Amino acid sequence: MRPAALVLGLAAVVGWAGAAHAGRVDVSSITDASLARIETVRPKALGGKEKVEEVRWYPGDSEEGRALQLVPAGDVGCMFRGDDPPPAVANPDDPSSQNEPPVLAALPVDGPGPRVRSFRYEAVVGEGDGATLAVSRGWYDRQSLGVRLIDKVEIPLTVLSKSPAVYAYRDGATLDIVVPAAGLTDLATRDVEGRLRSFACQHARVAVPLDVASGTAIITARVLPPPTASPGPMLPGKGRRSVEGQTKVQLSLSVTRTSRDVEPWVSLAVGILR
Amino acid sequence: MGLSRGLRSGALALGCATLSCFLADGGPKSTAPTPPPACARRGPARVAPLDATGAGSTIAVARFGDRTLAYVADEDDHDVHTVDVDSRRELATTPIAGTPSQLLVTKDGRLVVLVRDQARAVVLEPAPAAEAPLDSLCAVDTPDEPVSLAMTPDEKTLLVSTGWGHSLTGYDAATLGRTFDRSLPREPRGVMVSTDGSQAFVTHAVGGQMSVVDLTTDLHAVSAVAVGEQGDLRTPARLALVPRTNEFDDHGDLIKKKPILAATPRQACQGFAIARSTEPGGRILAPEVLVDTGDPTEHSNGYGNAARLPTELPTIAVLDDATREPLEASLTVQVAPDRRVRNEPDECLLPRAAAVDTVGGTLLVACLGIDSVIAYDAASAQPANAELRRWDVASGPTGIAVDAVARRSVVWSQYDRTVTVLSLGAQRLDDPGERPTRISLSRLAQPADDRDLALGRELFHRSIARDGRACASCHPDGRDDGLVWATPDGTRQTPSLAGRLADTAPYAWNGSGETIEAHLANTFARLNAQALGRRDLDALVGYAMTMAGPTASPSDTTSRELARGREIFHASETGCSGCHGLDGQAPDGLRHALEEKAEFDTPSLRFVSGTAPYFHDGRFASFDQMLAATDGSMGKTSQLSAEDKRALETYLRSL
Repeated sequence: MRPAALVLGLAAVVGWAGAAHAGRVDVSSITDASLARIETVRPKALGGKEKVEEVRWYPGDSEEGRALQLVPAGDVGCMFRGDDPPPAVANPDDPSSQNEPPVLAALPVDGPGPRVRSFRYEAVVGEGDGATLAVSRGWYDRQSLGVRLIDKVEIPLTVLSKSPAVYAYRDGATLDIVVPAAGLTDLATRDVEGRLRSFACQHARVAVPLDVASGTAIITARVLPPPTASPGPMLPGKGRRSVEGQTKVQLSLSVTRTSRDVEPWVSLAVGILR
Repeated sequence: MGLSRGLRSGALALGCATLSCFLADGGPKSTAPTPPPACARRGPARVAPLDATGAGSTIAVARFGDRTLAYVADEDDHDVHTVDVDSRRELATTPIAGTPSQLLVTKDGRLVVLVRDQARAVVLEPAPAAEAPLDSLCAVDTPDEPVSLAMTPDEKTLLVSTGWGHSLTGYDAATLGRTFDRSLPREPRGVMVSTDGSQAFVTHAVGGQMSVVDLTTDLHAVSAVAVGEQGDLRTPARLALVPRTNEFDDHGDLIKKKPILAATPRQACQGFAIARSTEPGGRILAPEVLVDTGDPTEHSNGYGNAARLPTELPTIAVLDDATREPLEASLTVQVAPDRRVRNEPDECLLPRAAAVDTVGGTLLVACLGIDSVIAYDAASAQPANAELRRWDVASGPTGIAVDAVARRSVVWSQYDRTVTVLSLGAQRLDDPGERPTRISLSRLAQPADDRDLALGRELFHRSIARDGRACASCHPDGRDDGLVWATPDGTRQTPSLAGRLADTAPYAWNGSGETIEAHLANTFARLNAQALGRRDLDALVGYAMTMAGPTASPSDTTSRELARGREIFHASETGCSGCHGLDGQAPDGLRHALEEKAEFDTPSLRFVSGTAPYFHDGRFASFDQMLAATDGSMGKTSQLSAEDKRALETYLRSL
């Protein structure tokens, strides 16, 4: 008999730093969002007056070399590139260089590629059992600066862990894990295919396919010290000392399905890195 | 592997005094099935196991009335210790005539102890008082070198895996009558039965595979499951990297990802430990190490030439216990986003024991070399990347058991002779109340030279190379890893050391080390290892030179085939003994040109049958192949009849 949906590590985890726990759930207990695949043909151009309330253009700072960027209107959330191709790998022989561009709260207007690009804006709204992921998808024209909405959904999130907060939802044949950045820094993920991605916005998200016998993804982060803590002095060549006091954690997510399992199992381990 | 001092006469006498059945049954072992002895419990059941998976280890926890006891198999003192876990007191010792390897508490209240160097399993039962030594019930023969045991879920069959005997043997759990005996590949170690009792999984210290023995029919068919990349692997271990090139449609949308090549061939090794998950069930968990031995077409700077990732990486193979298939992710090397490309100094490269905490859902792995127990998520597809926490334990952890009810684990550290009790309920590492507690056990009086050997053994297993490797990484139990490495001299297979070093100078395949110290210096340089002080070096050399080889059953000296083989070996026409010496164990100490521009030191042939593949580069899988291919350059055997070749092989296998 399969267990009922289970919130991982709730009872025993007193605090964030120093806590390590694991837990597992049957995948059928996780919200199935199944976002529709965007069939819309990519427009060749958008009118300059087309706008979307979720995003806005941010002029950047030309003195610092930062170009025009598409950012969330409310200054929260993350901007993904949609289906645009990733840049070439820096050094294919060095696993440490297999990085995808960081996910930011902004998309730059410059760079190679088609004039009209797709975007996906998303933000975690609320917390705990009421948390949702607000997702808006659309196109933006890098010449006219027009923005067009394709769709907009709000996905109820299933709580995998409360401390740290880890949420999940199913999107067709993949399981998406969402980790809000509150209290964390240096969020990074490695997906099933080994791609590294860092997140410099309000959450990290990584997907694991459900149609395979096994797959894993890893999320790492540093736990920020309490707000009262001093950031510490800058030391030559060593950066800020405050990093020394931060706990480095690793969230290991895995999906497995053996011949005895009716549904895949989702397992999340929260460990402390040395 | 215990200190190589052989049986202490004192322990033997004491053991025989207590285990009277040993004296009565002390003759040569019979190869015929053992008649069922009277192994039934004589008194009431006084002890109940706390382990739910039926797994053996060097330590077991059990309930004795309202007490929780740990039973410890002590391979150095040749006894079983009884320890009260709650009061942290050692209650009793029970001498064993030989070197105990593992023990197990049966549900009907008996203890089964394997005696590695005597090829026996002994059955004991607790006396009415826990403070009294255990009482002997019976002893039965096993194939050579019993190393691990497990009970089927129905408690009807006891399974024993043997190292040098390379077999899995079944016994009727009630009578200890032998029910089946199946030959397995080299160096079996841990054994675990599937949830439904239909099959037994056996790890191997070398060979990159796990054996699966069917328990549902009398045939007891054996199959192999690859747990690393070797030969025609079904599930290669590979380095998961980002796609190198992708394909896009006219709109620039990604339509196909091309996987990066970069399959780095890694072979599995160090298969000692094994456990079974319970929630979710149906998964066999086997800690091991994936090894990159380097490109055989290139000369390396050391042993292997892994440039991008460490030569050895720990992993935990996860197998579906119904289909016997490994979960691919568990054999995929995937480093964490911020992990450095080289190994951390505290990787678990010598996993020796494992147990599952059924309540916490964690897999606990005891690691030699770093003297740690690491907790992993037992439900993960890649447990090695789901580390939850770790504990420092006393030196030489070789066994672990879980008391799930009390949320604790007990760990036996052979080198420090200490039981460490870990609290599994602890969630905060900084909680001082949750620190491990240690219970030091008694020991027999120890001569000074034994203390040096103990130091040598610890050093042999200590991580000394910059990439975390220890001597025991390539020489598990002092033997060989069955691997062929890229080296500065070309491809070379790892030689077995145990019982083969004394009086066989010079050392190294090319005989470049006139002394063992000189050879070690070269090896340490190749490993980029830290230099040892004089005392440590002496201790390490002392231990290596006296490591006991496998304890093999005496050959049947009346065998005509064996006698004929011996005659052929020593005949001038074949020329074997001209270089390898009397009985293959007194090599001439000379280098011989077997290949162009390459000379090789004559190796000892002691225990040669357990060191396949053969030749300096491991190119021959069998004696037949080797003798045929080297005819004329290494002895002359082509003139031998098929019958004489068989006789020669029989003789070589007896060495």
